[in-house]
Amino acid sequence: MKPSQLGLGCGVAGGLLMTLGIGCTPDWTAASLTPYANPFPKDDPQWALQPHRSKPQEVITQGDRAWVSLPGTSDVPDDRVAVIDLADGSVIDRVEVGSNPQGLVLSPDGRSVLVLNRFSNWMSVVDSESNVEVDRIPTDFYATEAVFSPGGSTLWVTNRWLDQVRIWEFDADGRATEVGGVKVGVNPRDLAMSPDGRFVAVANLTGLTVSIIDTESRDLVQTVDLRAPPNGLAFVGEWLVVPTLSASSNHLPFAGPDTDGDGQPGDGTPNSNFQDSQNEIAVIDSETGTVVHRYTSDTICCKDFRDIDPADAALYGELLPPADTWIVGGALPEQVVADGDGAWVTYSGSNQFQRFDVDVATGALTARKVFDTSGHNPHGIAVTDDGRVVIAHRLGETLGVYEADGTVDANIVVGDVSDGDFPATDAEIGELYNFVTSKFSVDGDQVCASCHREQGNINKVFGMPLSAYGGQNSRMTMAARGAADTRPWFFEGAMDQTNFRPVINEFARVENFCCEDYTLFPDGAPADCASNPPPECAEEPNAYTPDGITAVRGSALAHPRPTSSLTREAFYLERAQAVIGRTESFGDGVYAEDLLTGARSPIPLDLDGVTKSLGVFLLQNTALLPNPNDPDDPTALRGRALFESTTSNCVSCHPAPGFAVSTDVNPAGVAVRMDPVVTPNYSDVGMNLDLVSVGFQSIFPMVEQDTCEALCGEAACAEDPAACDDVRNLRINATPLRGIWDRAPRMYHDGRAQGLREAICTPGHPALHPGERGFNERNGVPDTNGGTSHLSPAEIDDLMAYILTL
Amino acid sequence: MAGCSVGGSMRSSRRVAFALGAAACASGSPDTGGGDGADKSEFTCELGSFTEEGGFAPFGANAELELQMGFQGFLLVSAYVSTSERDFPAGDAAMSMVVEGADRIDGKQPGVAFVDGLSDEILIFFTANYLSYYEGRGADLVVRVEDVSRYCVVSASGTLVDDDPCIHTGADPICPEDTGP
Repeated sequence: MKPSQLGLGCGVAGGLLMTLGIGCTPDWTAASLTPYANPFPKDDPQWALQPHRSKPQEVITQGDRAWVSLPGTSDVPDDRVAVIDLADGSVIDRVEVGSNPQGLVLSPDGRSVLVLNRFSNWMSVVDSESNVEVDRIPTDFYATEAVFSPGGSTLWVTNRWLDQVRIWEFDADGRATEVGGVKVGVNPRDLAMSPDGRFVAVANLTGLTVSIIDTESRDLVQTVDLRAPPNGLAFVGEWLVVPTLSASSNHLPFAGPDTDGDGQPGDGTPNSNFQDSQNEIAVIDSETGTVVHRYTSDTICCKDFRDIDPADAALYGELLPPADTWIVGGALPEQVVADGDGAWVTYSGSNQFQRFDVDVATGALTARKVFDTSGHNPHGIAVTDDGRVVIAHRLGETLGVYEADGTVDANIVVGDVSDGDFPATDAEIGELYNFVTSKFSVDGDQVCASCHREQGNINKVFGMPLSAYGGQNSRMTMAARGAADTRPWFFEGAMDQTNFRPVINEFARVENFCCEDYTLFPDGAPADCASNPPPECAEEPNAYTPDGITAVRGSALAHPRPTSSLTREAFYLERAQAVIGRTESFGDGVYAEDLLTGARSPIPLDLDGVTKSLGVFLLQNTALLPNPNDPDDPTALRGRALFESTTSNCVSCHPAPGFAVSTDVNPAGVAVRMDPVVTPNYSDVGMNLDLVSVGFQSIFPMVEQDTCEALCGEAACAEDPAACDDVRNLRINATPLRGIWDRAPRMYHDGRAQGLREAICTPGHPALHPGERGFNERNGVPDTNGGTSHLSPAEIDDLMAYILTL
Repeated sequence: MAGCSVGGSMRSSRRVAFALGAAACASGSPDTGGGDGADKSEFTCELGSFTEEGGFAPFGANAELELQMGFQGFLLVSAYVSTSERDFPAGDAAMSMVVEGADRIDGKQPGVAFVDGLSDEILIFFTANYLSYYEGRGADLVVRVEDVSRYCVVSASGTLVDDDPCIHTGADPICPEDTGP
């Protein structure tokens, strides 16, 4: 138990004596975390000064007043909460609080707003009348969201660093005492209290589970595995409504790993690659922890040419969710708020929001109309006493106020547009694409940020495109963080920030556009196709694919093309104009250069322009969450000595500053790749599932992969293309370790290691905990990923402690 | 071409079908701009094609630049850089191409390996995949290769042609529909 009272005498100037948090803890010192440095150099021609942004995130209301947290970014955190008068749409104040404020909760008496400051070690108590931080209640870093018990005597707070819900109790005088915590899943963010006060439900964002805690016993009573990120949650009666994503993993229906735990290979979903990723809302019975309903995208079929028709039995179409569950009308369902017998959901990936009615008897949802937001990247949502909906537009820097019929009452600037409306730079165009990708996808379903939540990774492996055994391989989701630490990127060194178009290609494959559809015109479409489309362009060839790769025509199951655009370029430019209001880059980081004169000019925001914008965005922002672990802790210092020792030799492949080998730190300026340091991922029949496809290699010379023919000869490979898979290697670059403290537990390229301990320990190492396995070996030879077999369990702990400070 | 292969790059032995002409412009011209070249020494290089049978052949006037389509329909042309600087080990390549009636296309290919003065294959991707739009149009191509101390800039002009949309890698052509997800 840790007393945590802190009063005005502890360094907060002025203000009223508040109901909450009276008192002081003398040995407590206010502190805030320092953002990671970004090694992307200012003299890089793609570097540009970026506008300051506040990134409005969460919103709460009381009467005509709204409070909006302004966390900024992890690289440049803000430290304010905006106070808005909803009656006249004015910003009354911006209150200074701690660093990176996120969660907001109104005290039961309405006199205070508690603000959870992720990068500071306190939560702020803000007087709701004077708009001043009048008190600070000490917390650990990364207190994120909070909810009061119905009577207001207990406060439950999620903590991302500790993976816990911490608990405070308030006495009759409002004195707060931290009384303990409950271990939950990985990266808990949102939480909600059941109306009867019996349960607290916690959304473990990257851990992919929902934890349900009995508030009386304070025990974790249910863990609901969604196999997808719970992006938010709210109780509607006894039903827990959870915006999430699909549980499938891009594997073929009856091949690949058993990702759903049913004892059979494959995940049972017929769509392939990114088309398998859908937007969903789960309804959970809080009493039993049972998912009683799971709704999916209303466009799950059939727009993209790879979509499977549910009537197509040959392609396992019957395995698609039933059509009456296709009611989720936007992309990346993010936050949810209860409103009577219903709930409103924001779609951060498509700039939309939608209301669902909830059947109180069954928990079934009925969808209402989808509305567009008045700003980019809607996140937090609240409902006013008079039934208006208010939404924080995280990228738009505004607060939208809407009538229940979707009418926009106001779009109030609450963040920072002093350097121009968003997007104002090429990096911001890339940022918009990252978080609102669906606007540029042909079926409106897929979003980069769905799998790269907060630009980190989620605890899940996917069957990835570009692999030799598509639909069967498994790759851990990559964190889109620390991009300047290691270049080239993707598939361990095949691409860089300018040319990762095969990844972006997944959102709008060229086969969807008539004049570029090589499956329709193998020798090229007529030269005037775009201005004078031939009759073939009126055919309906798409959404029926026997192999998930090629379109089939003349089928009774054919569907219209997804857009009227005849070329992908036309599609992108039309979307760019509609979403961004321009069709060219700004030219500050994304440009074409005349190599003879050095003159630079903006480029069109087609696939290439958008890809390069996203690349610049990833370089301009580390997106690494500031590290709360103490590098001067004796344990970490001992671990550092081990990390740098010649016996472990960790530092050879993971040198500072990025703790990876990149072109930037390699004097030769070329990527350094090596054979896999752990046993490759083999299928049951010996296929090397790590290998990339022949086609991919054909256009990416940077890929380093053995050929079957070179090792086994053409005759053997003609008979069996996998003949040499046991000795073929894809050579890869080292994984960057900076920021590893916050990544999802699964590690290694295929996610086989369930945490850092399994990644660094050799098989059978005494440091392993019961049930853990060590994977630091290759084909039975230990210590291939650094020498650790000689370390004691205590030394393994030291080494881990150091790595978690990087 | 084994010496020009980077880690088993499967394009290194492909048949290249550039028809050669005479308009290739070797580097060293006084108007070469291109950023920080002032801090580096310039060397001369040539732009051309390569075949196992014929070796490197510089582009000439009226060069035919073969349009190639592969892997998910991406459209590209390819080229090789040759230099008398036999000790040049590797460099980053920047490519720029202006197609008649279209926007400038630009790209980078970091870490291009050189062996005995000949580069690995350099690929210039089109932003659109509309093959027939580009076919028959004139194109001006510029490639700059640099390492920490040296650079060269070389240009060529030609016509985009489409003999066969598939990429040829050794014996078997790779067409877009063959190239997997």
